[in-house]
Amino acid sequence: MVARRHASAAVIADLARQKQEGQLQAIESLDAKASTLVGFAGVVLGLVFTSPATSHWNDGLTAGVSAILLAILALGIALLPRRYKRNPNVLALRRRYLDSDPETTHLAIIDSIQAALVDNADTVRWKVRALRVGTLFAIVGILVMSASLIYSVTSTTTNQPAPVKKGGS
Amino acid sequence: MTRLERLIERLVHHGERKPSAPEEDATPADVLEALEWADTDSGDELMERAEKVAKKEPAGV
Repeated sequence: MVARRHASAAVIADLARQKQEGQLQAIESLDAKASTLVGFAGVVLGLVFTSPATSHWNDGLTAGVSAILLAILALGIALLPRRYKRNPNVLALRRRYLDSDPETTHLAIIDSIQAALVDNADTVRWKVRALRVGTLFAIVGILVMSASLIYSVTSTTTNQPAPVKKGGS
Repeated sequence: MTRLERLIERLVHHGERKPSAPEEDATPADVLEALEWADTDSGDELMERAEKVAKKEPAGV
């Protein structure tokens, strides 16, 4: 009995397709996280500028707001639309492999998906980095802003002069 | 193969094993390029790529 040339091609092609779907879902999930964080950072900034915090403005608040702005920038970079490969090109596959044996077609599909996975992986890596940096800046910004606001409010309260008693002898 | 992978291969196999050669039947680069499908590609681009690797169509197709 003669063994088939690429006996496992179908199995591997199936696995490659699953991996590709997983990768594309991961990209969408990262985008969703980045958008949520951008929205959250925007709300925090809005709250800061519309709240009484502006009357207690200090260097800490400036640092916190700057960190949140940097977070929005990093998250915006993570959200930039990029070219994601969703190989294979069905039109090209049909043109070239319509009359080929299934193993050859499966091999082409595997190679094509593999190229897409590798290419997309580089993009995902950038996205994850930007998301990490953005998240870190957002957390630091919120912490610094909260701490400086609390400090500012408490120090203002303790520094206030004691009320003068009226009608004293 | 990245530098790290090459280094690991050298360390693990003490240079006895040569870096794996590309598989005989691996799809050629031009075909791989033609099989590209990105979500931002236009229909014309996809068609153009398909035309590049088109084999002679059987009669009646």
